[in-house]
Amino acid sequence: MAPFQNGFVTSPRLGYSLIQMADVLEQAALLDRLTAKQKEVLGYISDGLTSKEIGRKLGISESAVNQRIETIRQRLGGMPRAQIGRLYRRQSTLMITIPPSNSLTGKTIQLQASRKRAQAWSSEGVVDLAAPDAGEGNDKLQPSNFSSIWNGPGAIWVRLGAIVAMAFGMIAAGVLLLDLIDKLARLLAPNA
Amino acid sequence: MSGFAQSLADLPNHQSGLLAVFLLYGLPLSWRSAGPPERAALLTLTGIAAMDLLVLLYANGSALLHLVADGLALSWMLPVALRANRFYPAVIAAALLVAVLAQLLNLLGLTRDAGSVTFLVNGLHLLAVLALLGGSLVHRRIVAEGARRPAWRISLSQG
Repeated sequence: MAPFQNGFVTSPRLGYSLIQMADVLEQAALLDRLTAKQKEVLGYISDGLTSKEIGRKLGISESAVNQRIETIRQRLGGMPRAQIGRLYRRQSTLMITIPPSNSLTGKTIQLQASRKRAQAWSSEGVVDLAAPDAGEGNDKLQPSNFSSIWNGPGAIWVRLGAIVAMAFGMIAAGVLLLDLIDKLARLLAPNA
Repeated sequence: MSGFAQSLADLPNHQSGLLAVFLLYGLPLSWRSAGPPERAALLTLTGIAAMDLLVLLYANGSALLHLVADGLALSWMLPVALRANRFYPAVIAAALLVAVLAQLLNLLGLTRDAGSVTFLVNGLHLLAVLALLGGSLVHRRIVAEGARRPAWRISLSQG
């Protein structure tokens, strides 16, 4: 069965996946009110760290961490600490199976959604996905070309090839630069 | 090589000290926000700078010891470049590869001008530092946006 017909989603699996993504993006908007530092604290809370451990990681006191957590709680409508941790984890990672109609056919990927970017950890490594709200053509959920090559199957050989190619480029640039310096030096000081 | 080019070639001998100071100050400042690949690259480049200084001070700038230092750095950075979920370690590895090759050829007497090799090698070290700086800034920006960025490729065994 085709996943789309007359502009409607007809595949239940695709529909469920889209609902999950919409939910995540709605919560992302809620968390977008927070500053980068507050999000960092939230990340540690979602990892299950205590205030003391977070303070040690950030190089600040335990009371300063608690103060930040209190501000976060206020901004999120007074949610308990455990709940905001769960919310952040749910927002930042979501296991999702791409329906068979998609180019990432049937692969289970872990999706990280943000306003501008989404990343997926799949069997092919980490790939960048276009976020659904990031603009034109992003409804296709495609990995970027560079990322899929750099992290895809055979990435070790691709990277080795790139390193060797860059090395050749650097040698060529170095030789040209030295030649240029030499010519410049002869031009500036012909008798030296 | 002419006098002007020779003076340019001599300049990097003093740069290694500046590089060491820059890296040693940069290390604690950027360590906390850095991911494992950034830390590995920072340690590698700091190690090179420190060894360069030691070789200059205690071994009269021995070419062999310079080669050993760069070879060790390359053997450390190559696995990082192959496994990291980043691009810039590959640039650093390529720069170190060229530096090692140039020094090896110089040691075997296959180069015409040792000054040019020194100039090239120090230029490559500088390029590696710039690549690390750029990579660290990009990493910092991505993390500041609230995204989590895995340090390594997930499926390492798949090649």
